[in-house]
Parts: sequence; structure tokens; C-alpha cells
Amino acid sequence: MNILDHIQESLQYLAPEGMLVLALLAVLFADMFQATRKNAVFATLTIGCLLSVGVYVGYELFDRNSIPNVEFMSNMLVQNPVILFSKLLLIISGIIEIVFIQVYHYSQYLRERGETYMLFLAILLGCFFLVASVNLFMVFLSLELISVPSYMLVASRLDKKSTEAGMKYLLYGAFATGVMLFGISLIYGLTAGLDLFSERWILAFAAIPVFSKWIVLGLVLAALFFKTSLFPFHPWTPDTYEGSSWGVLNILSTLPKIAAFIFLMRISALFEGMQSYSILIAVIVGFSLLVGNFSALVQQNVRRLMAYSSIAQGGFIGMALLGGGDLSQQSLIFYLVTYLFSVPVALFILDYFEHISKGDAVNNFKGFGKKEPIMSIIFVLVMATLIGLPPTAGFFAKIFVFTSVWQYYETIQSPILLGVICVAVAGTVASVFYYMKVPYFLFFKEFENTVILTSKHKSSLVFVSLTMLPVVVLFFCPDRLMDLLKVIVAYI
Amino acid sequence: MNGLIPHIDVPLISADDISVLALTIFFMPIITFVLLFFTGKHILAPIRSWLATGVMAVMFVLSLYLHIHTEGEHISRWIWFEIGSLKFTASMLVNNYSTTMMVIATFVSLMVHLYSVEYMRERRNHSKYFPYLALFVSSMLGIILSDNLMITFIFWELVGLASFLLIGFWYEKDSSAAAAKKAFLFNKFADLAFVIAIMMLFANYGTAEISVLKEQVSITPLLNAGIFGMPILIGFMIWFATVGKSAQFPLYVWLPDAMAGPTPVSALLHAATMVAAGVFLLLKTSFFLGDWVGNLITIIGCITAVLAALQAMRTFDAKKVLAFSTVSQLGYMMMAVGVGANDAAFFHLATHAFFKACLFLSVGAVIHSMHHMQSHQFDHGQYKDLDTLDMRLMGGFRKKMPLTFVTYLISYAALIGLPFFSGFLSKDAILGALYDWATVSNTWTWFVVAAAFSTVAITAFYMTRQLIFIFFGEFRLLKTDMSYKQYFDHITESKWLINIPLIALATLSIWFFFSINPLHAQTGWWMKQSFVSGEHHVFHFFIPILASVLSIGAAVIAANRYKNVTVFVDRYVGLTKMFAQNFYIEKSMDVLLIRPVMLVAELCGSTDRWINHLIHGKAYFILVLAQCADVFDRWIIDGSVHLVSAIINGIGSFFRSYLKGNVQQYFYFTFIAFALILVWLAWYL
Repeated sequence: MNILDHIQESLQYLAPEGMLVLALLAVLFADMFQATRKNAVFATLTIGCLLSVGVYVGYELFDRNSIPNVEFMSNMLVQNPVILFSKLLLIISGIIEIVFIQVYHYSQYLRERGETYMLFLAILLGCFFLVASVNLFMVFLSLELISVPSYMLVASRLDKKSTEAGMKYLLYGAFATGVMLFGISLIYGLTAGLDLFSERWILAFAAIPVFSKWIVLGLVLAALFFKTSLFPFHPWTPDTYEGSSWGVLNILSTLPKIAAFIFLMRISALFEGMQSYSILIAVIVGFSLLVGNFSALVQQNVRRLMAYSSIAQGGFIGMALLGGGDLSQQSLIFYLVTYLFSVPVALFILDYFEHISKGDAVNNFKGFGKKEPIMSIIFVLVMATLIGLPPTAGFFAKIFVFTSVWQYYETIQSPILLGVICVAVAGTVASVFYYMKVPYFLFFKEFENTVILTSKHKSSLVFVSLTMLPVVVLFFCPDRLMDLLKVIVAYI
Repeated sequence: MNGLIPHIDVPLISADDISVLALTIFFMPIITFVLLFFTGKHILAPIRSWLATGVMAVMFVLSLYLHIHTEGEHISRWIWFEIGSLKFTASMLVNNYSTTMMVIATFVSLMVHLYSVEYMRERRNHSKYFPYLALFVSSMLGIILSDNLMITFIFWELVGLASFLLIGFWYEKDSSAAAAKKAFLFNKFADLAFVIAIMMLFANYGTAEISVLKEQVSITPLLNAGIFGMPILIGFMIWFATVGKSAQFPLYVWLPDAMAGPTPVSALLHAATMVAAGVFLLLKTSFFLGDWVGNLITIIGCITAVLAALQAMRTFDAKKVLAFSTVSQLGYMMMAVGVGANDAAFFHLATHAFFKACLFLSVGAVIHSMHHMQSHQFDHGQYKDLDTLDMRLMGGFRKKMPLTFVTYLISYAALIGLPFFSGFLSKDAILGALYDWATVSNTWTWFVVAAAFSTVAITAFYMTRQLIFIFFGEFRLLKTDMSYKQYFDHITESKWLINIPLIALATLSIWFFFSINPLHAQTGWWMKQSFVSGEHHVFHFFIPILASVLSIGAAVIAANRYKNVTVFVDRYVGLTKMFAQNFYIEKSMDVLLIRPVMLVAELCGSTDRWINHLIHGKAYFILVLAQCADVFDRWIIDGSVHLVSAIINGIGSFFRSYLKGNVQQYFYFTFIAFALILVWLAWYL
């Protein structure tokens, strides 16, 4: 078969990515010739593009006849319903983030620059490629496509703090990438191929010695752990969160994480039944839960608090990787759905409070509950989601995750899994303390701030309410989504 | 209900002219009461006094007219109210008996009103005095006219209320208020019996109409055989109600205390209204009194007469002597009722009304002048606490107030039963009846007769004593305090408003008003009227002679004894104490009735306290438990939570300590940690 024909044939599956690239170029073009920046051209272009990609992906996903499980581009990428659904999630998350930037007045420097949208579109493109990758080379490329714009976004405020955060992120990211590249080279040496999901590679991989096997696997997964900020690749998170703006944080804590977890889920499906892999993940996840939850407890700065909380959340999501069965995959995607809606809301409201109180310490939020009742109540709901309390979908997300891990523990009876469960339970208990710390200050302390609260944005309220809505709705009908996911994950 | 209540057909009778006139008289004081009570101080005091007195005079004239024109019985009866098919009737009976009583009551009331105009002038609370008097008189008229025991009961209670208000008229004095309360409570206790009697009547006859009942009782034999048969028991209950009102043993103790009210009120109370009401009612319902009840009444009346007379002998309070004498005379009347000498009893009631009123008003005049002395002294800038009722401080008023002395002397003679005075006639009638009764009864009845005769002597003794104390000798107050000399010199005869009632009442205490024959009343017009039953006893010549001899002898003894007494030394302290305590009647009531009740109450109370203790104990137990739970909460539960959070904080600090913002350190951390994990895993697997 002619290589050109193959590429031409493969291009039909790359329509979403193509549209993203076109939008990127359009924004770049507009940015070059735009005299004034106070306009909504970039946002309009980006959201228009995201909507059309969303419609296309949705059509592909629900048009049953057009769903092939095909590999294309020389077995670099794959197309199946799980990947389409993941792209759909990424697009929804992307739309929320763009709206986030638009709604919030204080992220003006993000909103009015074309670079923001270009970098964002690049990250989204990388995420699209990452979820669809079946080749380690492709994984490496897409991770870099995510990472490099992320560094720039973190540093995009161009002040000392943001530059420092971007620098640390870059250095640490480069370190992680290096480790991964080292692992990939070892794998290539051991198995003479990078085509992870092919039967040939699996057989070759199975043949290598156990010790080498886990070393290389660990090294390869390092970059993914970095992206999902799992232990021991988490130290960048608090510093980066502290230095970057909330809009950037929102992008960093959702898009790459969703993509990386989807990819990890696919790898878990590949290694399903291989105890060694799940033990590795279990140890990583267990330590992440430990570090995230218990470090968050002693934080007074809300940014660092959210950083550690994102580590802990990563741990909880990672628990769903252990089992590798249908239930695990369903619960992982369910958790991601909850996560992608609730994290922007949490960050948005924190951003809101931080700006009206002129400070990011929890102490500054005293008594806001009476000044901003609706915001505060929604904030309590979000925190309940992240803890896993009713009446939010977070409750079911946690239940599903715990159920899947317990089922797996009943199968293999590993003490490490039991340890993970114990740490997760303790972490959940601990998370009540730090997640409820802010609401406590909002409602149970007297208002002390001398700053006059002037900012009352109806658009902000509408945004958080609408974003929070699916989380609450999912609490009342989690079975609908679970049934849908059951159909979808069967294609893995 | 009809099945339960025996039905007796009660005919309704419309009122004739006589009845309408009686009703008019009855309603006049009510109008006075309403008018004066609600206008109060807006009307000038003289107008107030003379209005009430004028109305009373009109009433007296009308009563007299009514009495003259009444022949036979005039019953009027009408429906009072209905409950379903049950008809409650109200009725009024006008006959010789009731009109006579009306004349006595209105006359004495008129006299008291006239007297009060002067006596109560410028006294505190004057605006309430005449309305209360009017209420008192109208209530009394209600009792006199009513022919239905339920209606009677209502007025019976109103009399109690009015007497309560008048006895406690100067309620700011503690003794006054206490006396009013005592009178009220003793009367209420007795009135319970009245209520029981009415219930019995309704249960057995279905009506409380006296004239209907009178026929029924005479027609039907005893409803229940035995000594506790129905009419007998009803009679007993009605009698017990009068034990309160008419001050019989053992409930007579309220009457001496009731002297705390104004003196005219005492006169009215003792003569024509309150105490007379009991005897009057008992006479009206005497057809119930059968079998043993009559004997009981006689015995109790005898005891009352003797005891009260004995107490009167040692009292120094001028009004209390008269009060005890009233109780004693009421005992006489009751004895007469008990032996069936109803006419004699009513006769004594009538004569007693006049001379006792006269006695009270005479003594009142003396007291009035004592008051004047005190207030004169007060006007001259001195005030000394002076017991104006104490006979030991009086004396020599004979010369100062000769008219008062004469009226007192006449009524005194009437009371102790000297010939040519009304008391002689009525007392002779009662003693004769008792003698007749004793001759046909058992031997013990002679003790009653003997007691009655000795009471005659005692009466003469204590009345002579009072006469000498007040009117003879020297004014003893000067011996203790010479500062009264100038005021005593100024004492003169009372005003004519006081003298006129005295003269009128004294006149009516002389024999000719009741009987032409001064020694035998049976031939007199009064007894021939046969107001109540028409029974007459045979005239015994020795009875008036014996009574007179006893009286005169006792009077002479008393005169000799007290003639020259100037210093009062109590040689019989125990006796005085016993009399002062009313023969320990109240004490024994306390021991027999109040203490047991209080004991039961105390028992209940202590039971309650024990229950409270138990409940408190339970509460304490729960508190202790809560304290334990609190300690457990603080140290065990909170402690474990704090321990957990301390451990968690420790872990958090441990991990954070590696991350100090230095990227190189991050690399070391990550590299070493990752390497350790991988190596450990490789070893583990």
C-alpha cells in the first residue's frame, strides 16, 4: 500500500485535530493583524472551533455505524468510542476553561492575548493525540505538545512569581521527560519496538526479566505521573500553582490530567491481570493520597491547598487504574466527569474570593458567607463534591472508585491494596478538614475585611451555577452515565 | 331525670295586691343599695344618710300597713327557670308570721338608721355604710318573704355577705378583718348543711317549696323508717345551718368577735337580721323537726345558753357582754324550738329584738362619748391609745347621760326578766314550755330546766355587773390618766338622733305593748295571734316567781359584789383564760378537724417531696452520667481525634520538609523516592 494513500486514508480520522490546527492558525493570523486587543475575536474563534469539533466528535461517537476500532497513521494512532468520548470530555472541559477566562475580569491579560488561545489549542491538540496514541513515540510527542505550551502559559503573566513558577515547571518537566525518554530507549532496546498495544510487543515485553521490566515501565510512566502530578513526581505542583493565575491552573489541572488518565487507563487495560503493574500503580497512588491529603491539611494558602488537593484527587482517580476491569474504567471516567466540572468551579470561586479580599490566605475569607451567600453555598457544594459527600456526584464517584478497588482486592488479596484502601479512607477523612476549612472561614467567622466588596458579577454566578448543575444532576441519576459508560468501555 | 326525681305537682299562683306590696317593700332597699353604692361619694353625706333613712321609714310604714291588712296566707308562686321538663319555681308567702317579722326588722332597721345618721357621721368609709345596710335589710326581707328554700338560700348567703362587709367595715384594722373572715368561714361551714338539706329535698320531694313540703310531710309517713328517716335528717341539716347563723354551740364563737364592726351594725345583727334569720327559718320549717332532732336542739340550745352566759360574767368588753348575752338568749329560743314551743320562741325573738337593740344602742351611746373624748384629746394635740369598749375604764355615766341610763335600765330589766317588762313575758313563756316538756319526758330533761333557770340568774348577774361598771361609781379612766378630766367634764347627753331610737326601743321593751296582763302573756294579744303553731302551755304560777326571785337575788349579789370595786384583780386566771378561749372550742376544732386535715396534707406533701427527691435523684444520676460522658468525650473521643490530627500533621510536615522551593532538591527527592519504590517493588515481587 502506498504510504501516501495510507496517510490520505488516515486523514479522515484526523478531522478534529485538523480543525484545532486551523483554529490555531486563524487565531495566530488574527493576532498578527489585530490592531486593538479589546475584542472577542480570539475567544469567538476558539469556542466556535471547539463547538464544531464537539459536534463532529459527538456525531462520530453516537453514529454507531461509523465506529470502527481502527489504527491509522502507520499504527501510531487509534480510533474507537472510548477515545471519541474522551475527546468529547476534553472539549467540554476546554469550553469551560475558555468561558472561565472570559467571565472572570481579573484574568484580563489572559483573555486579551491571542497567545493564550493558541497555547490552549496546542495543549488540547496534544491531549487529543495523547488519548489516541498507541505508539510510545507518539506518546512522547503528544506529551511534549502538552508540556511546552503549558510552561509558556504558566509564565505568561510575565512577572517574577509567574516566571519563577514557569521556570520550575519547565525544569521539572524536562527532568520528567528525560526520565521517560530514558525509559523509552530502554524499552526499544529490550523489545525492539514502541508499538505498545500490538501483540508482538506484548509478547516481547513479557519475555524480558521481571526486574528490568518494572524499571523500564516505571521510567516510561514517569512523564505521565508528572502530568497527573502523582507521587513522586508531584513537587512542582504547589510552586506552579502558587505562581500562576487561576485561569492557567484550571487548564493545567484538567486537560492534561484527563488525557493522561485516559491513556493510563488504556495501558491498565493492556496490562490487566498483570499484578506487578497494578502493584506499582498502587504504591504510587497510595503515596500520592498520603502526601496530597496530609500535606493539604497544614496549608494556609488556598493555592497551595488546591495544589495538594489536586495531588490527592489524582490519587483517588489513580485508584481506578488498579483494577483494570470494566467497573474500574467506568468509575475512572465517571470520576473524571465529576472532576472536570467541579474543579473549575472551585478554582473560579477561590479566584473570586481572592480578588475581592486582596489576598490568597484562608484567613482573608472570614465572613464572606454573609456577603456573598450564593457563591458561598455553591462553594460548599463544590467542596462536598471533592470530599465525596451527598448531594453531589462526587459521592458516587468515590463510591464507584472504592468499590472497584475493593473488588480487585478481593481478587488478589494483596496487603498493598489494603494499605491503599486504608490510606484512601484516612485521606477522605482528612480531606473533610482541609476542604471544609474555607467554608468554615466563610460562614463561622465574623467579617473582618476592610476592603469594600464591590464586585458582583451576575455572569460569574451564572457560570458557576451552570457548571455545577451537571454535578448535582449526576447525583440523582448516576446510573444513566454509568450505563452509557458501560457501553463505551466495552470497546477498549 | 324524671324517673329519679319524685314529681310533686306544684301549682302556680299569681300574686295578689298584698304580695305585690310585699314585693315592693322588698325591692326598695335594693334600689337604695344600687343607687348609693354606685353614686358613692358623688352624693353629699347628709343626703346619703337621710335618703337611706327615709326609704327605711317608708318601708316601715308600708310593712305596718301590710301587717294590718294581711289576713290568712297570701302565696304567690311563679316559674323561676326551666331545665328541660324540670321546672324550678320561686314563691313568696305573706302571712301574719312573716309580716310581723317584717315589721320588727324594718322598725329595728329604721331605728338603727336614725342612730347611724349621727353615730356614723364623719366616720371613715361613710359612703359604703348605708348601701351595705340596705343590702343587709333587703337580704333579710328576702329570707322572711321567700317560701322556697332555694331562694331562701340565696338570701341566706347574701345576709352572710352583707354581714361580712359590715363586720369588716373598718377593714384596715387587723382585728376587724380577722373577725369578718371568721364570721364568714364559720357561716359557710354551717351553710354546707343547708346545701345538703336542699339536695335531700330535691332527691326526695323534687321541690323546695316550703308550703308544698309542709303538706307532703304531714300526709306521707316517714320515707325511710328509723331514726335517720328522711324528713328528720332534713330537719337536722336545716337546724345545723342555723347553728352557724344563729350562733349555737359550737359555732357561736364568731359572734363575740363580730363586735369589731360599728355598734349600730351590732345592734342590727343581734336584734332583727342575722341571728334572728336562723331562728326564723327554723320556726318556718319546724314541721321537719321530729323525733330526736328536737331533743338535740334543746340540749345544744341549753349548752349554748349556759356557756355564753358564763363567758359574759367575766368579760370586760362592753359590747362582748351583750354579744354573749345574745348567744345565751338565742340558746333560750332554740330550747323553745326544740320543745315545740314555737310561739314562745318567736315571742322571745321579738321582745329580744327590741331590748337587745336598745341595749346595744345605749352602750353605743356611751362608747360614742368615749370616742368623742378621745378625738377631743386628739384635737388638742395628744393621742393616747384608748380601749373605748373597756368597762373597767368607764363608770359614773349615770349622771352624765341620764336618758341613756334610763333606756339602758329599761332594756336591762327586760333582759333579766323583771316583771312589767317584755322579757319577763317571753322568758316566762319559754320556761313554762320547758317545764311542761320536762314533766312529760325523761328525768334528764329536768337538768335542762334547771340549767335554764340558773341561766336566768346568771343573766341577771352579768347584766347587773355591766350596769354598775358603766353607769355607777366613778369614772375610772381618770384614775389611770387625769388628762381626760377636762374632756370628761364636757360629756353631755347624746344628740336627739341617738336618743329618739333609744326611747322608742325602750318603750317597746315595756310589758303593755305585748300583753295587758303584765305577769302572764298567754292572754296577751301577741300570743293569741298564734303566729306559728298556736300551742299554749298551762300557766304555772311558781315559774315567774321563781325566775323573778332568781333574777333579783343574782342582781343584788352582783350589785353588792361590784358596787365598790375600783381595782381589778383577776383571782381566777384559769377561768378567765378558758372563757377568753371560748372554752377551747376553737382549739378543739383545731385538734379535731384542722390538725388531721393538715396531717393528711403534710403526709401528701411529704410523699410529694419523696417523689421529688426520687426525681431529683434520677436527675442527679443523669447529670453524673453526663459528666462521665463529658469526660469520656473530652479525653477519649476528642483525645483520639486530636491524636489523629497530630499524627496527620506530623506526616504532612514530614513530606513538606523535603519541598522547600528548590528545584534541585525536587530532583533529588523524586529520583531517590522513585528509585526506592522501584527497587522495593522489584524486591517485593
